Amino acid sequence: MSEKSQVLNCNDLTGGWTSAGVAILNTVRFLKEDYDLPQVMGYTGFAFRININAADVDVAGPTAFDWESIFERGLANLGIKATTVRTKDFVAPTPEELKQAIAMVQDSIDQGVPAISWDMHVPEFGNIYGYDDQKQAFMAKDPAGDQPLPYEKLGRGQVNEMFVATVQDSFEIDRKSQLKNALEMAIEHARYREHQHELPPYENGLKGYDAWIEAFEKGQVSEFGNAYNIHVVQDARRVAAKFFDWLKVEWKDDERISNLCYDAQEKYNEVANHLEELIELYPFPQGGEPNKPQNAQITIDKLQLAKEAEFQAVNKLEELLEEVK
Amino acid sequence: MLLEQSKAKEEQFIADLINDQALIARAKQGDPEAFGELVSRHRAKAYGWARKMTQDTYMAEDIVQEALLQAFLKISTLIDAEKFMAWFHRIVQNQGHMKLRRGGPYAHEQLFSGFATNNQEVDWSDIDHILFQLNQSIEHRPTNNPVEQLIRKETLQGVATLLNCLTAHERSIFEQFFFEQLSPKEIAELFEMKVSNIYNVISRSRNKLQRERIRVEVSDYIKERQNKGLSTKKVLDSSKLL
Repeated sequence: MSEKSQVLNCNDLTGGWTSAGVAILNTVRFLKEDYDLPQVMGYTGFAFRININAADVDVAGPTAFDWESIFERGLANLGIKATTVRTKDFVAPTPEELKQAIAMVQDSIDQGVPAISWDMHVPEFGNIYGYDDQKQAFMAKDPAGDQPLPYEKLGRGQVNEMFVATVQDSFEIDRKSQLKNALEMAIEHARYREHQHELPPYENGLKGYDAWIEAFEKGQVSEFGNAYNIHVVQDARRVAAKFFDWLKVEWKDDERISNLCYDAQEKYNEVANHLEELIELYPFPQGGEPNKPQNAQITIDKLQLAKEAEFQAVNKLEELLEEVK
Repeated sequence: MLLEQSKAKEEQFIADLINDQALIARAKQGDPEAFGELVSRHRAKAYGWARKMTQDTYMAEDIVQEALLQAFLKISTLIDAEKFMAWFHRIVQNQGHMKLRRGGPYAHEQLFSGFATNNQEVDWSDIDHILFQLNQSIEHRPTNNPVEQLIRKETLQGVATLLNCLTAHERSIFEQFFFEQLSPKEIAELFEMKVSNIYNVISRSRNKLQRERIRVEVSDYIKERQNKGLSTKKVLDSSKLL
């Protein structure tokens, strides 16, 4: 996606910088009222994501992943069976694909549950919560606003690609399975590269920090992309800490697990604290001056500290997984 | 004996037809092998038709190739597999007419570029406007072949009449087909424009047609929902959304 296409305002993302997490929460709430953002982000893995383009820390990183599988797996861990439809990268839907997606959304809304979609008012995730055949428009809300979206504009936004996820079914899931699945997703993301192709040079998980440092060492950092990534990752780690803050209470009947949750909370807060100092250096959307050598050195130091804290956090997750298994 | 032979022929014909249908179904799914097989099966026949029309071997070959390409692009819009042959025949004929209208095999001096000699700007993304311009040009064009001029005029008028009879949906398909039939170079010749300009206009025009097609299909979809008695409007409580 081109950087110009993604113009957001700081205030737009007060619901949370990971729009996928917010969109999932908005859908889930209509079925399971008790969930909040930390639980949703934690159980779906979005609280633990980092995806950095080693070439320039581009703005597409946080949303450059396999949407279908990540959304479906994450929603399944909330007790929701989801269906997704997606066109290839940068390919607008054919009339048939569009009609299929409209029908999916309408079915979902008829059943009382908003759909999740992409690039409606801005290239971020959002929700479709209503439709009007007479006006041929959806009611759609994403970080850029809450306004009608003509049917024919679905998949023809700023980047011309279509994604829709809807709920097919919901089921009960026990807290132990949920925690186990969440830990597995988070650890996989932290330790293994999830991209099929070498290019673009995206790195996720712990190696994401290395990629970030590499871009700063080369002095080829995108101002806009870097600021966006920092805000997204910092916010996600703060949410991860809140998730474990809640889990340690949820699991107070199991001292080992509860204590490990406390440790994980501490570590993710540590990550968030290191990154927070960079937020002041790189405000969004202006982005500051990441390619100034002096700033680059400060940033590399902070990213190294953040990586070290995240490494320790992942170790805690692995210990937790052993306990839960 | 004779009866047996004719029965065998009939059986072969039916077998071919069945195979064709299976191939067409596969080609419609975008299977290039199935399309290749269809092409080789029908190439000979198509060549025959085209040759009859043009009386020129090379041009016939040219036309057939063009028609085959168009066939591939259009095959997914075919609804009735049995109609493949008739439809394919028509495409070849259309291609032939197109070439003939441009002056036929031995009349290179009669290129369409002669049509747009006046200074009026042609909005060639608008089919009605193109037809109007072409008609105007024919009226004022010196000719040494009044019969051909008449044929051209009648063809253009036929197209104009046809356009009026089409539904919006059919018309959008026709327009798309029309623009796909002419290469940028041909259109540049037609209106004496630079090829690079033509590419820009084509790209804009294609997008416009694509949007039009989407619009029509969405309207049809909504009508279908209405006919099924499905609800036409529903809005969930947006205060629950972050």
